[in-house]
Amino acid sequence: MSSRVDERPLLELRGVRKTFAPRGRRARRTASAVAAVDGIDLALQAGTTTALVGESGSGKSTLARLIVRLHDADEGTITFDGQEIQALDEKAFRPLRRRVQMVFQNPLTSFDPSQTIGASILETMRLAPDDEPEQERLGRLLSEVGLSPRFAGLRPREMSGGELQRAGIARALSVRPDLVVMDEPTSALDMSIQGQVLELLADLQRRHRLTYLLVTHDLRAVRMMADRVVVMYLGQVVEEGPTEAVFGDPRHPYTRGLLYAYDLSGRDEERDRDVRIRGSLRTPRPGDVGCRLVGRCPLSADRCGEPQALAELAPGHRARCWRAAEGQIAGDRQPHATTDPTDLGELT
Amino acid sequence: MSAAQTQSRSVLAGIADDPLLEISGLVVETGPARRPIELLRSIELAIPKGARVGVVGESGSGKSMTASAILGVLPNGVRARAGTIRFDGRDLMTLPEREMRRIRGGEISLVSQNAVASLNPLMTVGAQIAKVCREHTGVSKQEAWTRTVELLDALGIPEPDVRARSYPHHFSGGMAQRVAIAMALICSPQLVIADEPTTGLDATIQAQVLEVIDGSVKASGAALLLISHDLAVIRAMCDIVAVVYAGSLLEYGPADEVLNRPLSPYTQGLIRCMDPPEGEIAFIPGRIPEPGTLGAGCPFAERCDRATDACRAQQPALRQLRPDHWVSCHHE
Repeated sequence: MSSRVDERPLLELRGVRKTFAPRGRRARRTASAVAAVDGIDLALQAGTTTALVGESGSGKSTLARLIVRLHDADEGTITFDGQEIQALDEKAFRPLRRRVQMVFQNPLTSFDPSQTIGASILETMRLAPDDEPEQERLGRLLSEVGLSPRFAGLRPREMSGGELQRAGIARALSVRPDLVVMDEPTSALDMSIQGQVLELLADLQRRHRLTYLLVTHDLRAVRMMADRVVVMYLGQVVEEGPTEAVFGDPRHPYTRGLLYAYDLSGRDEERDRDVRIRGSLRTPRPGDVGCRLVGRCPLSADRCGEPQALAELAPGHRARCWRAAEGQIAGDRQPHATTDPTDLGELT
Repeated sequence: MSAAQTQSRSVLAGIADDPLLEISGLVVETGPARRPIELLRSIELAIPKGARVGVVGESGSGKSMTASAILGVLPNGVRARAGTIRFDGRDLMTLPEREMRRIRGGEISLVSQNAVASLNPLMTVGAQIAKVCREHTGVSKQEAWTRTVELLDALGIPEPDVRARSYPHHFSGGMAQRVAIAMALICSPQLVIADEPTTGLDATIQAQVLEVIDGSVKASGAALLLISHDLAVIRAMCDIVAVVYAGSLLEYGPADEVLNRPLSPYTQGLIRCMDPPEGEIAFIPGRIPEPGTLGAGCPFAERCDRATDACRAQQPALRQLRPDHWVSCHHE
């Protein structure tokens, strides 16, 4: 984990918004457009790992796809290494495409089943030619991800999930990227194998000074890998900060509820009342301007119907909740720690 | 089957005088009879009446195959070669299909991972649950419907009489899983098998569904066989844990014991993976063995840092090293 901060982030998002309109006449009549990503600011420092955390419907995968430009944003700017990528046409973007690579959740479906692994990797590798002979470069790539050269001749069906995910990482690295966006890279793998892939990713990051954006719902992987965590709920960032701060001292009721939901062993009635997130995801109605957690949040009040700003609570640690901003939420184990003045002192 | 076979008891039978379900020496295989591929090599299991037993394992461990064997619904081309599955005094492996059909859904029910896929999309959920109830208990249509709505209400489905008339696609993942749980409980079974019941659900919804399973199983007095890859789920729900790996039972005992003082090196590694020390990335080296590639030794030997020649030569028998705590390992 590095705490060093560059002057300029490698990737910077400002006010990014992406709306999906309902398709078909009937759907347009009955449903309204959903902002999957609704005004996101994000900055990734070179050589660090940022985790994007959220449940289904949070918009984390849409955001990842915007960054690798599988979608175009409706509003906002995405700046990669000083260049605004939304303004570029496909041809002008091509040199940048090499520098931003993606690793997918399911390695079995992200490889062509009829081609050998070697052929698939070579196809991508040719986008970034260099002087080294192709076969040597392929062998070196495979060994770098811990696969022996014989894997080049295998087809996806002949490999285990962990081996395939290593091959997926080799393919992403074959074009020497700066930023690797990973969508649930270990979620399809067995528990005893997940750590192998995470260890490999950490090692490759150190060696090549890679920047990672880790999109996942797996908080265990986040704890092991990430320098910073960004928690999303219904298209918005609700909390962000250094991993230790967000996990050790979560301030947004959603983050607290999420950590509580994962911690299946530490349940008791009092925490259940104060921390547990109720019900299931609800889509905001047009005209809703307040906190999107209203109705599920145990601490909801009238004021939550007003727009909530992402307020800075400590250097680099922000939350989108007026209670958090006023210091009403401090210390994970003390949901209403307002009586202790020392707790409030830290926040101001 | 011969009398000798029906009387063979699992070494685990010692845990309770008369377990509700007891699997002994179960071997399940596929492929040609002359060169069979063993999917389950040596599965033992005991489920005392009203207990909650968690089976934890990774892909290929045989945890779901064991459930299929209990329910007598092994996939095409897969057959049980040896072993007994004693349930409430009967050997399920020798029962005629007609009787198995009465047991499935009645005395033993299943909650599967993908609830929406397990429901009939063309029937309202209420009608499906009521149908199961009528087929197994023979109550009137009206009575079955009343029970269905009551059960949906008890499982925390809002407006149960309205929701009972909805179709499966109207339900969110968490709500659909509650419907599947209702279907599993409607006939007051003695054993509920839940196969990865919350995998694929969001964490906040997972916690709710586990609570529903917990409460409803407790209220009905049924035993629970919870199959999961997630030790955290097993830890939260079960009082007995069975650890399976590559078709063999490696460890069995009280949840407290197995999770806090694991005896098998595999269980130890798995717990470390789930809850790694601060600032560390934990894993078990090597790969999970493919079915049919295992020799005569311990299935975990290839990945175990304590493996000796003895481990590679012979699969260790289950031994009771602590009270009610069995392990298949040559060490200790």
